Amino acid sequence: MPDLRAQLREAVFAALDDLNAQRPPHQRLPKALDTALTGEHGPLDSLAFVNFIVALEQRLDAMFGTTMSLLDDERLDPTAGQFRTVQALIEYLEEMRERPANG
Amino acid sequence: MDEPTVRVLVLADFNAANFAAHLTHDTTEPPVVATAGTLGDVGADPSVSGESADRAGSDAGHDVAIVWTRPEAISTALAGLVDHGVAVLADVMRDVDEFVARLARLRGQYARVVVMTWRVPRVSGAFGAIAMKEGMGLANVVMRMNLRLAERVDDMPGVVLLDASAWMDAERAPEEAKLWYAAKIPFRHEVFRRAARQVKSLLRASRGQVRKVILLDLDDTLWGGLVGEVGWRGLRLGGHDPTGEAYVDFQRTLLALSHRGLLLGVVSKNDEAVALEALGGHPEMVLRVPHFSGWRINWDDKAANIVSLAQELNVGLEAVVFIDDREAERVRVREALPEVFVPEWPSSPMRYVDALLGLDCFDTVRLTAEDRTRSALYAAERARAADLGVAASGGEWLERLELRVDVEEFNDRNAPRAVQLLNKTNQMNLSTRRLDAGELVAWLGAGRRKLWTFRVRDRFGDAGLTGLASLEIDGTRAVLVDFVLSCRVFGRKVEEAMLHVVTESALESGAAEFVATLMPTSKNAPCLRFLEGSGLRRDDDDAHQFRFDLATAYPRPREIELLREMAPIA
Repeated sequence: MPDLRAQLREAVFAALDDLNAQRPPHQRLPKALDTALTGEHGPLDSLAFVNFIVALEQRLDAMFGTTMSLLDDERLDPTAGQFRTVQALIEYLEEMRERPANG
Repeated sequence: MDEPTVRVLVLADFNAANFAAHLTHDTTEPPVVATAGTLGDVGADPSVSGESADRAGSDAGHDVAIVWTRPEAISTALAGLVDHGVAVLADVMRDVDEFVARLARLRGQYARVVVMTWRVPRVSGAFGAIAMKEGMGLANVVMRMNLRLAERVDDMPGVVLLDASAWMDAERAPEEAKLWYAAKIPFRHEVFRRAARQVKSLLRASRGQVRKVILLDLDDTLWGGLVGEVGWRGLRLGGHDPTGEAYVDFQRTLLALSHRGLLLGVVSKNDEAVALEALGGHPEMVLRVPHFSGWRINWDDKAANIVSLAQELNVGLEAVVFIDDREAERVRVREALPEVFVPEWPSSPMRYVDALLGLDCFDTVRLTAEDRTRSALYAAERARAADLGVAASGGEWLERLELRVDVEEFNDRNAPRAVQLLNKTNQMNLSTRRLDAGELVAWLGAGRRKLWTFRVRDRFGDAGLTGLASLEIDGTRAVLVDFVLSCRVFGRKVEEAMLHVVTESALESGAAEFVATLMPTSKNAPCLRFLEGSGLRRDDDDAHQFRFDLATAYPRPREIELLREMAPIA
């Protein structure tokens, strides 16, 4: 069985590829765990953040065959800790995957 | 030489930031800097949106405007069909016409206006089986809107309508609801990426930067199998065979491209007689010998053969695409001839058509009569060359050709071909300036200027509109601005006939002196060589400037019959 964290890292890096395709070379985000995403000096503005999250949802959907809704989540807040870095995002996604479904 | 950056303004009724980003960061030529316009509504309120667009365009100095709208944003009558279930078709068409009037105003602000066709809105799914119902189905009405739009912009110079379905249909689900609700972006990234590539291809085409020749390998490229081993009867081509059918479809696609003006040629390691027999003899062969403008079928190095064939066809290597199923041959040609485009090629023949159509290098803005008959023109050229072999001298050969040149002033009918010639010709080109139709018309109207086209024919056929020259009268000086002749008719004294025509017009327009200044490029040395031997006097202090005293008439070549309708330059 593939390692969940490795799968999630692959999905996040693929979404970064999608995002980078629209950015000039000097603004592209490195595919690394400590890459900053949001926060006070984070590189993603609101449009880039939406683009990144939608791309990530599509990658996760393709990978797991089930929808992980990030954009619809009431807790979606670009300034929240889980979106600050790639590492934090992967940990958040891991927690979402392992969280029992409601109902 | 670096390509100048094209400045593009995207006018959309949605958030076009993603599309602008893809346009800007696409790595193909030419470089583009795209800005997403803040226009809220391109079509519904022409006066307001027109002012906004004018300001946006003139402030930032954009070259090209791209107009991409949703049909429901353009037509309030169409929106009524969704909201109330009824729409009067005449009202929808009136909305389209108002949108076209808006485009006509934009045309004056930008060198080119690119318009995307409309996509049937997602809500059409709610119409179910009546989506295509006459007058009440949403899909039916949007299709009619697109047809109306195509009719209305067809004869608008400088406006190009792109079929958005080409890149929408390539996606399983082109719309992305989440991007729409979160950011008012209606389509997925892949849609915008494909659209950006098509726009870049169009920009290259409008500057004449297109590939003109496809050189093809034969065995396992044009047909399945080695003809030298199995003979033409043993080839996989057509028949009740999936692979054979794929080869036929590939040939048919190549034939369609040749009708758009692309030249086809063969570069193959084979015995020529065996290969030509297959082209002529196989009952299911789509491409026959006359479809090919030239070939090199031998056992020599393919790179050397490509160079030799390109010279015979009078095209530069940067105009050539080489298709070969064998990787070793592709690598060899790529290394030896970096100007030639050698695409990667799929291993399965069933993917050949997709690979060919995905090349993005054959786009054309307008299709002229010359494009449609270009293969026949090269066949006539082969006959002409054979005739040269039986003539006693070059002079006798010119007499035998029975050359006739028709001279016509620039007009709406010859404009598409004249603009194409101006933008595609490199060798016999005095100034190598590149202008689209709108720019050329504007230039002609801004002074005492005139442009003539030259159509060349002989007893072997009609070479078509192959020359143009333009003149500007400045007091008693007549300045030759453009002097362009297709390489297909070089060396038959057509050049001298053109000089005769323009100097005669210069004299009739009151000029006393005729001046031609060559703007040297890496490719127009043939033009300089012609001027050096033309009888014009070269300036002592400028090796590229030539003069002629109009007190004497420039002689008309006696081998050429000239037919012209001309008036002095007012």
